[in-house]
Amino acid sequence: MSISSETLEVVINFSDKKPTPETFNKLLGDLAEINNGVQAAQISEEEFADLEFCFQKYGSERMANYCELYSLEVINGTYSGFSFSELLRFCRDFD
Amino acid sequence: MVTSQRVFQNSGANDLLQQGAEIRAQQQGAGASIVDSDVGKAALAKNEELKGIKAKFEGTLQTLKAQKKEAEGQQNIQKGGAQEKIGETMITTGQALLAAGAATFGTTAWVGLGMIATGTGVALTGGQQQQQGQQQVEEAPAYQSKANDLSGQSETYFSTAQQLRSEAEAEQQDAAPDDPNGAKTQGQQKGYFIGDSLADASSSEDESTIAKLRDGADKISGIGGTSNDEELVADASSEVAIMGGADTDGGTPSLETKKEAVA
Repeated sequence: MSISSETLEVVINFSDKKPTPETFNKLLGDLAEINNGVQAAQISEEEFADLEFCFQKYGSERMANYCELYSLEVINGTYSGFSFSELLRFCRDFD
Repeated sequence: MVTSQRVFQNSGANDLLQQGAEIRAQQQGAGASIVDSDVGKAALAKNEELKGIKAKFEGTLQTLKAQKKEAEGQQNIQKGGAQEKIGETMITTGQALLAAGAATFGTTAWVGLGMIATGTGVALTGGQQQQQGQQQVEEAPAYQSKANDLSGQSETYFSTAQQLRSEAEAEQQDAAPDDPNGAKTQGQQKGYFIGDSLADASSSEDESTIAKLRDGADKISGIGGTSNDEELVADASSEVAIMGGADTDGGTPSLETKKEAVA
């Protein structure tokens, strides 16, 4: 199963911009809309700042692994859905 | 409808026999009331047939529901499965983008994170849809089972209807007058005539009495709705004639009158 061309277009367009909480939420909304309208997770300014901090602290690869593990937990039913607050807590618990 | 209400004894009651014959003539033949009885059975047969049709229709509805559940379930499993795979692909891609992102957590990393977040939601929804589909598929056999039960009931109703119809036809044939002029020879010889309560044929006893009359039995019970009346009349004489509708319903003539008539 490959990612749709609409998704790639959204991703490419976003890459041209400097991320902010607003643009990131717009990205999340667009991605959700073109993927069967799944309810999009939204990020707050505080969460956005915390994630930047975590990324600097743990590094890209480690953060990527944390995010994947957290996603699997969500899919397996440990969490009711994806939320950035939960993700941040998950990362800190692992640290 | 017949309105005669008479009970009489065969021996020495020629006048009553005559009255009976006259009433029979008004009925356009001795078989008239018996035919009415058969009409009752035919109506029962029709009723059973209608029940059968209704059960069959409801069974078909249940089958359609089962098919719909099965089809929707399979569709949801398929759609959910596809969606789940899309979500998983997004997570994997997002993870790769996130891992490949600049150490400063630039746009590539954010895009990766965004894809992970969205992909998780997509996969989660797909999984739920698959579960829903699985549940629908599991529910389908219950509907089919109901459909099978109703189909069985329908067959039973149709079978009963057929049986009743056959019985009604057979009885109608038996009830045809021996004498083309209208009088049933056997009954006439013995001085029997039949009132309209026979036509109701509401109980098996009535039918039994008709059968006895046809067979030329010496003793015929009274016929009607009140079994006590019938027994009293039957016990009163070894050869008891037939009585009509109103007296068997507990109306006139009274029981005393009946007793006098058979005394």
